[in-house]
Amino acid sequence: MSSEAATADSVQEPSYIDVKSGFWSWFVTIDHKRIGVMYLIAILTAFLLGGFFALMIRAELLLPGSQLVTAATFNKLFTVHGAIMVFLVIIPGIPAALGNFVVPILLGAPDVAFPRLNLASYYLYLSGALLLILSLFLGGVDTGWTFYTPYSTTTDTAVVPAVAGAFLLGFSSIFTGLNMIVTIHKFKPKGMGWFKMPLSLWGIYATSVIQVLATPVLGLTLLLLFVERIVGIGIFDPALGGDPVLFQHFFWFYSHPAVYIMILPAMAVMSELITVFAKKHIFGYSFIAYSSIGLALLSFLVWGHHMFVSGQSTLANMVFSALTFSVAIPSAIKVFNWIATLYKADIHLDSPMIWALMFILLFAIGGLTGIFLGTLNVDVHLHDTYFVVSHFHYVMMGSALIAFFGALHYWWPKMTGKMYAEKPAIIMSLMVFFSFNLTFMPQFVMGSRGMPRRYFDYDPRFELMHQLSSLGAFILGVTLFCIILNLLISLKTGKKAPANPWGGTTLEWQTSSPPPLYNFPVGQPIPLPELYEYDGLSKDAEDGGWQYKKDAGNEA
Amino acid sequence: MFRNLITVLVFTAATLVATSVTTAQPATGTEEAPPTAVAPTAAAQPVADSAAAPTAAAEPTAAPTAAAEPTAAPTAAAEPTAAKPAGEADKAEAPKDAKAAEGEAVEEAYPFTDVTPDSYWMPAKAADGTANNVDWMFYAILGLSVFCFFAITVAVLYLTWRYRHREGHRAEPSTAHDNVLEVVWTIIPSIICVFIFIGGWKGYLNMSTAPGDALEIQTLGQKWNWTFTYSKGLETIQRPELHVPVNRPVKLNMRSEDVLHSFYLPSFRIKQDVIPNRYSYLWFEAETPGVYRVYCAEYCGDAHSDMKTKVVVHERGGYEKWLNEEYEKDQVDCREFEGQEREDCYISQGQKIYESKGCKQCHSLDGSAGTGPTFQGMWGQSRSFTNGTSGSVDENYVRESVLDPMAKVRAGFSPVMPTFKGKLKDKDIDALNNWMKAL
Repeated sequence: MSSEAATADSVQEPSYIDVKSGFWSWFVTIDHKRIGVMYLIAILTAFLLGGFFALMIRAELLLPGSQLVTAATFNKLFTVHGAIMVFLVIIPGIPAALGNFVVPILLGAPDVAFPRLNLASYYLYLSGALLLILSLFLGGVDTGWTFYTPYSTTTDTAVVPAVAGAFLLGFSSIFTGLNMIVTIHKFKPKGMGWFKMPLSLWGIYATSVIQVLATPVLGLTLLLLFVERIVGIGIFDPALGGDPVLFQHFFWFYSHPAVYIMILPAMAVMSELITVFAKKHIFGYSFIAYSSIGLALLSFLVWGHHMFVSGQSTLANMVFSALTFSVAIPSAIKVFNWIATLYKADIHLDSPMIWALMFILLFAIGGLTGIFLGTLNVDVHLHDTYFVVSHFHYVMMGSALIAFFGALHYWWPKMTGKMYAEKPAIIMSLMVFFSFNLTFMPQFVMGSRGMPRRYFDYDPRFELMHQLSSLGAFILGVTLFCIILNLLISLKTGKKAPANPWGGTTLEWQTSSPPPLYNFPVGQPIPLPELYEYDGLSKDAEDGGWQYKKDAGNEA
Repeated sequence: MFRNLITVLVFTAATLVATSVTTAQPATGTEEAPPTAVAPTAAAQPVADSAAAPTAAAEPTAAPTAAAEPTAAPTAAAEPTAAKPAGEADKAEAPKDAKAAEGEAVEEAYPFTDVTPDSYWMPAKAADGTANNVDWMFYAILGLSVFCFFAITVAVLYLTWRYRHREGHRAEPSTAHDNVLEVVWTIIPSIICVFIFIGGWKGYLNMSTAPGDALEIQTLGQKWNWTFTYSKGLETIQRPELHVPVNRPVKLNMRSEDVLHSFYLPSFRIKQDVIPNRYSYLWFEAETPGVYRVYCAEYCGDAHSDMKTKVVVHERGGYEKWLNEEYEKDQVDCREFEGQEREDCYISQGQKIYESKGCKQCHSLDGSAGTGPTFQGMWGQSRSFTNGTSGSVDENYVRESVLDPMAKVRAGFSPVMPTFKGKLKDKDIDALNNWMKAL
């Protein structure tokens, strides 16, 4: 397959990577694709760092008592692991890195609505990340990623730079969300109504709404914390006349919706992957779309379920528990629709699809264990135990991060123009499934048996389960590292990617891989194929990918 | 076709077994640990032995009840790390180098009896009451979850295999939406959720409403230990372990001295955050005498995982006996004082504050109204306030009235009380509360 013949009838433009080169061409770029790639590099770096801290934690917990580090260091380790993974990896993972790259292309647009704001959000992200890292060198932070008061207002560790970092990261997130909302509203091409949008756009849209509405509350809360620590105004610290539980309300008013900032784009991208690799129209498009919006709205009403034992009133607990169950329904609807899509399909088990199927199973576990925690009396027992730790790792890592890796494997050929080695990708994704379950299944049992979280030392009864969990974590760590390596190797040795390697019907597959600077050949009409209709597609393009049959007449 | 289905099922089962094996192994593993703690003969037992776990050694766990003090000495020597001799008798804080030592090996008087889990998933149980509610809901949801997960897994694997891409296979035409189906799978989970919510809520109401006749114990959490204040008439004693009678509701009035803590009793399936600026409550009724674990569940700093103690559930009559004995010990201490000091020692802290801080001038103890209302018979009663609201007299009301007297002024009295903010510390208010309750 000669690469030049990718699209015979179009004038070959240089790709966005080749169009300019050199440090400055990236550093001050306003091309959404380059910004997306820069996000991706930063996020993967942060991921490796956060993963390293996770492995330190698991190594320390191999045996009860002190093994590698002191209790104080251990507390800093789980704080920085949480903060990095939440603020630097999962929240920006799909929306900022992959979303930045694909959203304008999915719309057939040349860029996002505010390209300069986009670059500004990237540098806010970098500054926030550097402040977080800086806090490590100033002695670290030992508050947990939740910064609960009055511990965070009284500890003598480097809370201020870390909080300042999280504040900047919050604004980066707000700007990205704003950009995406405007982009989707203004740049929808003719012929693409709201219900003809690819589902990943619905997901990014719902996510952006939460980012714009909820993140300011985090910003204000952190600002208040900042003011309390610097100026000594009593807001949360009872010694100064403040109320420590107030912080938890503020914090979770953001951080619960933040869970949906992480999981909504994951669900959206998985919907996309499942229909593409099943070669069948997604089942229940409108229900999936509405459930995204439903989740976004409901996510604002359930923050109190993090506080069932905080001293919150019985009535408030009852209301929050009831509302929490309402969140379960849209999630269940999505799972059923994904499964229904597989029925009578033609399932291509390429590596992104393996990730997507793994996602369904792990998300099911994450969701089902959420029912335990939404149930009031059961939560009183399980609250702040390893059961909770395991539950949110199934949602945040088993679902959101697995989806991120699935999406990365899906769009990697489009972003880089290279195909990665498929066999290692599949084998390693299955190893991720195995080792992830090995890591976190024992934690459910430990938790229900009463092992509290954030414990440096533990009862020897839990030793074997901690060791199984650590073993799983080590395998998981090595495997994920190899997966990133496999992707990087493809940059050197990978085959050239076809324009449409998976047979997608969305717009990003209708342009070359990697796309030209303005995403589509300038001056030519952009074809808008029928969404999720795979009949006209066959895998016989000259470049080895999929294309529409010449006589099918699928051009819009 | 049928054979294919079987193949898929076998594969699914294999996957599930693979994951469940990883969690099944610990089941045998955890039951190995106890022997060192309970069996008095374990003194010379090296750790290798306890890892190999002769099942016989695990049996005696149920034997010792709370009063089993005689086993104390040999247990203390039961150092499971064979390499190091058990020299330390440090009871204030578990020493770091005794890492492999069971917590109970260090403690002496009351060895833990909750070493054998109640079931694969749940820790030992000290009472049926709330614990059974929790366990029942837990297992109901577990059953539902396992069923749903199994169904989802089978569906995904079967469909993936059945409709996998192969030569000549194409997606068959089928509908892309079905509103009836969507409504069905929206409504069924909704109904199930309603039932689960109601079950959890009812259990929670039982859990959060203490009976009126509960034995009240003041609980103070601070970095990184617990202090329990027991009342005996107007007097109090303080101990680092929780002692409670069997078959009697106990209510803990909890406060934190510094940051957030959380009082967690796995054997009772209950937990409540302990907060610095207000009192929070927890109640339970023990049914099985024994010694159970208490953890701090809210992260509170360096020694968070060492902030643990035990709850000793005494046999019938044992609690009163224990309280008298401990009280006598304190009295002995008082006798060592002389003159005025000795007199002070006998008077309760609350009474001292009442007399020395100026409460006495306005608040009588004999039922007659002065400038302020009398303290006699006030506790637990509902009172109306000048701002039109009403509320009952409890720990939080007294605390508020001491620190911010204008917040709720009793109807019929003038708003003249000065604030005692800065003059009375939280522990003084604790003492006042204890004392007032007994008036």
